[in-house]
Amino acid sequence: MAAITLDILLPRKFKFIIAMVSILGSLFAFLPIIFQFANYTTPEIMFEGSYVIDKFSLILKGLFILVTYLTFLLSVNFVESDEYYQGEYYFLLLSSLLGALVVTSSRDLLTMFIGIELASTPMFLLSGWKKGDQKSNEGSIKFFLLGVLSASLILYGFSLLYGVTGKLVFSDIANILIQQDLAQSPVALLSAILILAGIGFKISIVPFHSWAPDTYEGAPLPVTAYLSVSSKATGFVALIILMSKIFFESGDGLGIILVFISGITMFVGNLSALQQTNPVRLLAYSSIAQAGFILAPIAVANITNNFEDGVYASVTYLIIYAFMNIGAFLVINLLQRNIDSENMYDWGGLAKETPLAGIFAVIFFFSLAGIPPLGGWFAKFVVFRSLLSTGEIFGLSLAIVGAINAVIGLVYYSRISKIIWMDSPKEDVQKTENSIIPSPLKVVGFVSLILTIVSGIFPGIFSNLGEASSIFFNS
Amino acid sequence: MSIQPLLIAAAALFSIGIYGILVRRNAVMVLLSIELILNSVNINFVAFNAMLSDVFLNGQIFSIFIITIAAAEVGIGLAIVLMLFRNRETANINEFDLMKW
Repeated sequence: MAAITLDILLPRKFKFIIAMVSILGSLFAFLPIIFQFANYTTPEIMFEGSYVIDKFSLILKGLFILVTYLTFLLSVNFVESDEYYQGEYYFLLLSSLLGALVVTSSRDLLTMFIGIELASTPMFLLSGWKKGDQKSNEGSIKFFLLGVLSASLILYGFSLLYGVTGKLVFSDIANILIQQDLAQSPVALLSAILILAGIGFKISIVPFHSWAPDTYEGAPLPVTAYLSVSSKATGFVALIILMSKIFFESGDGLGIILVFISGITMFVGNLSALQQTNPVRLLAYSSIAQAGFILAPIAVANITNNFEDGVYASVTYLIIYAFMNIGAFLVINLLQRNIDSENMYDWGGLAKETPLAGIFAVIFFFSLAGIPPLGGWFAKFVVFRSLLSTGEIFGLSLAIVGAINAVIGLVYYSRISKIIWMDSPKEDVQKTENSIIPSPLKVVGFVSLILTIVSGIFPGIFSNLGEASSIFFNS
Repeated sequence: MSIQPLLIAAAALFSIGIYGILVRRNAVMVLLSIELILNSVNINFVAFNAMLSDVFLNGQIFSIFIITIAAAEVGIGLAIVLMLFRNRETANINEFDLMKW
């Protein structure tokens, strides 16, 4: 029901072409999700099994709506400050949200494909929203070409699956694959690899990550925040559903590929982030590394076939990561208002001018690094627990790789805090006096701040959500 | 009916498309190569639909959706290429190298 209400609600808001409406609307859309979650009894299955509303989809829908709400708040001042197209901006973000919502509930190939496309196509346009800016143009074309290529790879994989089984609904496909003993056949593996490559572009895991830093740097900052959180989460949701609903019998091969990709992703992301001078690029590489962490439990789950644990860890990580990453982008946004330089080594002493931004910076970056009592440590703790509890050699080695990378991450996360709090200001850098923080940005800051700290001190809340989301894998 | 020739044609189109993406330097030609891949998927779906004699016509419906989405994507792609061409006066993807690493 909630999803259908949303389907009707969201596009309509475009008629009003006001930022307020989309902001209130996305908050309003959050209510039916809460009611449904509170009154939840059994999964609701629609359209002959191709659209399912269960706890997994409800929790992720809530996450997507909240993230979009925060992105709207981030964008208000941004879109007004330059000559951007306002109405279209909000409409495109809303349609991307709709796509993400469809993906969470989709249980057949067609619905999932439409959802993925609806979620990613508006982002091609939004990433090039700064029309006169050559970097924005360039990031946009790179994102577009690779994004469409990835969509066609996913489609080729889907067409092979359809050809082998003749069905579109995931449960039918899985049944036929098992009945006819095709689950480990070359065709099924080929389609799995094609789909993995396609979704890999969306979640920017390593062989397919090259677009991410460029696009993130070029795109407007709120769009970058949305890309690195919601867009990535959409890809992960699709990956989780496909891996656990279709390819769970595909043998160890796929899981081993995923384990290697996950480990390499962490290393490449973190080691490249160490050398960055542009803070947005740094966050781009850090979010690539975080993608490796989110992928790790799913990868190991694919080997042990214990998806409940893997999904629990991944979803918990995804939820906590979303809020701290939005917070991190907010910090960059706040600091950039005060200085006319994109090199973070020029940012010395900035925190003394905007203490609030400085405090946010310390909290969000240390949370991303995984320092207790902030949210990030619990996210990492859940991932490590799920990796180690399997007792598999792959889980163990991935946990070691993760631990090394958590330390590397700490270096560059704390470096930003050190620069803005401890370094002395550079004199040759142009400063812009802009000490008043607009209230929408404050709201974003405090909402993500509260969620980050609460999830660290009372991890039960988020772990319950993660646990609830993993339950549907029993049914 | 044997669908092997159709599947081979689709696989060939797919490979040509990938080759085109890797080799062509003009952004519009890269777009066209991506269209080739999407069309190879269409052929696949329709061929499988015929082979399975699927009464629900799932494959054909899927290919219609793909055609629609491909059209939308080409629209967006051409818009982006046009914007680039206005700012840079070139559509050669080798010259889009402002950002590296």
